[in-house]
Amino acid sequence: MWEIEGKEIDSGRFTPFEPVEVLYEYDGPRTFTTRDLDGELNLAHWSDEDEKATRYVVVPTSPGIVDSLRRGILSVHDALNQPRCWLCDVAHDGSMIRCLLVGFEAIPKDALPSHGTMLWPTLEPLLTLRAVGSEIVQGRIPSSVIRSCVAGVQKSFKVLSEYVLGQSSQAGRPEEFLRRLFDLPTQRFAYGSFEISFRMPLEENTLFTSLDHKSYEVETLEKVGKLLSKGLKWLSTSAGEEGVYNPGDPDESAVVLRALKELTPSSQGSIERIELKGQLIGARVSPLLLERKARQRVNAAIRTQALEPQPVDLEGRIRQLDKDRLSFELREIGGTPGIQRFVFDEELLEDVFQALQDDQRVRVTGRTFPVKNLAYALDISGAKTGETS
Amino acid sequence: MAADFVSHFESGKLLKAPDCLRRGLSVFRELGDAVHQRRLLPRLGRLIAQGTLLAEHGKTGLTTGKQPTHTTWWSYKDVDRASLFSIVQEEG
Repeated sequence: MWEIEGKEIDSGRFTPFEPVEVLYEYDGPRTFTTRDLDGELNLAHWSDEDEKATRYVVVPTSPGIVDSLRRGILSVHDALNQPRCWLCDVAHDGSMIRCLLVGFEAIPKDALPSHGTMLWPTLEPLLTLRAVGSEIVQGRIPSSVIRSCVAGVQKSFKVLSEYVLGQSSQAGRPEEFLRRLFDLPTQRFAYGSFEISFRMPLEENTLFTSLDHKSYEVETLEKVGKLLSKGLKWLSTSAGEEGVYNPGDPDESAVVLRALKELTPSSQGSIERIELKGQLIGARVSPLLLERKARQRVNAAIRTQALEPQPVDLEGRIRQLDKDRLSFELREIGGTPGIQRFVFDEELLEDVFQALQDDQRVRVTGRTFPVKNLAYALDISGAKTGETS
Repeated sequence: MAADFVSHFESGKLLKAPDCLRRGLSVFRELGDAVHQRRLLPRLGRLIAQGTLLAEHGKTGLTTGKQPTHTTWWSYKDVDRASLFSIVQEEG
């Protein structure tokens, strides 16, 4: 077993080494709380073992930290990263062999949980993005990097979700789920580089498992994940290298390519590489890497299939605002009964809401959206034509 | 890889654990659960192997714990356990 320098303390401090609450169990307790001689609460985590002993990392903890672990707010690594830290070696008969006061940073990386790993698999983030680049350093992360990571995921998710939702009935959809789907909750930030984790829009243990009887929300999320995974897989194939994407369904091609474009790092800017992981893209030990050349491949495929966005410029009256999905319908277009549904970004919500309230004809400019019968609104202004109802 | 397929009873570990569970091997039914555990407890093993267990290979049962798919596999005596599995993920 590995050795590091430390100060040996009286092993009676943690004797008996009995769990108060077992948080992770696998052939016995692996992560648990235990009380020391003073009755104070500590967090113990299995680190290593050999034929003689099992080694635990033990740190002071609190009910608040344990609660954050249970709710997926705090990773196990972060919960263990405390100013005081001990290594406790316990014989296989349960007797304490020795306790060593050590510096947490001296513990070998592979003897601790990986950064960002949550207590239980169901708490793992939906999607985690880590932006890497020479300009992305702790304390001086360009705000454009943060904006790009957040907006990239939101836009990618919007395209895929609209496509998936458009394939099934509109009736009976839980509003809370839709609101979270289109405005994903964040779960965790890490600033060593820049890392952001997005939380599941619902608490559901059967998500991304092979178990049966899945709810509508679970099926929606899993379809979004499958589409994204399909695109990410394509990027690593020879067809991806050549920028040729043709799964046989042009509608699906359009949404997947647009989603990939939003996630891949731009050929300019501070982000040189994006590392992706999370339940949405399947079980992976190592993150999936997206480099700048991935964006070039996506752009090539978009050009090949003539899927570049086209300008949209329409005048009409705004109706049917959906604040959860950030979408509205434009009716009475050019004096016809025609209807065009638009999606838009949060910053346009105020203008859309005002236009809906005023009930005046407006001009909506934007561009085509890869989902059928949808357009993407970028700006709203007063109508030039003087048509009235 | 055969050394990875011994129970705690066979390796003489976890002497205080329930005897029945000590004689079984722990497996997961979902790859995602195994990957999560690989990240939570890196020194438990670098590799993840996947296989299909049939009735002729022994008995299995879901194991009470915090992981919904944690399963104990009690292998029949003459089963070549390692031969049923192949490595699917390895962290370099």
